[in-house]
Amino acid sequence: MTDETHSLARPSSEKELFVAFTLLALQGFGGVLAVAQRVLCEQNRWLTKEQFVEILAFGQVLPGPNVCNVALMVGDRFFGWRGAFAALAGMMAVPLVIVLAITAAYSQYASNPVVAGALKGMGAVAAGLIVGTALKLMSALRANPMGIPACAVLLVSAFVAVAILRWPLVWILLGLGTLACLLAWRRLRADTAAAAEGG
Amino acid sequence: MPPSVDLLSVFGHVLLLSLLAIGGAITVAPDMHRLLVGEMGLLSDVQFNASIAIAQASPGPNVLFVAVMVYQAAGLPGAAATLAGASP
Repeated sequence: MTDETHSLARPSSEKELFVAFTLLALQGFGGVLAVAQRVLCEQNRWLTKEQFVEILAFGQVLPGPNVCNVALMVGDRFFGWRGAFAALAGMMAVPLVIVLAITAAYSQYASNPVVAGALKGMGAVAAGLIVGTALKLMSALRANPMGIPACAVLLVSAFVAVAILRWPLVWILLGLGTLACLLAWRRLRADTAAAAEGG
Repeated sequence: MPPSVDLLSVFGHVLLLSLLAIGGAITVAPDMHRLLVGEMGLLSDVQFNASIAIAQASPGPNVLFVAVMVYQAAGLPGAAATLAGASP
């Protein structure tokens, strides 16, 4: 681990950071995090795998899109706030131009049946990817301190509130999120007390 | 393209959603649908579906779906305002 940290390289300038994030963003179809790990850890050797996983874990807990958080933190690590902005801009600028160009082209041909059909198919694939992400997140719930029944109740309530009742997300997250935090906190405290008694 | 889109309220909403996007940007898609298709009536269901499909199929972070939606609803100034809101 120490050897690994010693053999790490670092970007020579903000420009190199910007270019690296642009290139990795352009390789990321349907999400860039997997590519980010390959480029940052294996190709450029700027971070160890452990460091990347740690940054990603922080990025997921912090508010804001995960990829933005990761870019900001990796950039900040090497060049402070200038690096953070270089990395974020690298991640967003070129892909944004491309995606808006595609959208503009799509708007021109939206009524064409071939284009409409292709987009419908892509929409189905996107929905599948989203469900896949949800399932991956769900598999982590088995180890959750709240227990499976409580998780299931929270999951179903959130689904009903979002998809059927169509309540604003703010209130759902504040309500169910606060409830879940309280439940987990109580359970963890009880576990700690039980462990202290047992030991 | 409707000329009288209330960009400020879109910006505010995206800013708020950005803070709620714990676990990935796609978690705010249902709320974007509620706002843009339901409440404000800026996008059709087909356009909403296309926005997510285009963003997922294009290179780059999927969070750009938010920019695509507002670009369709309000043109370039809309997309710029939204992206400013989405970057925390």
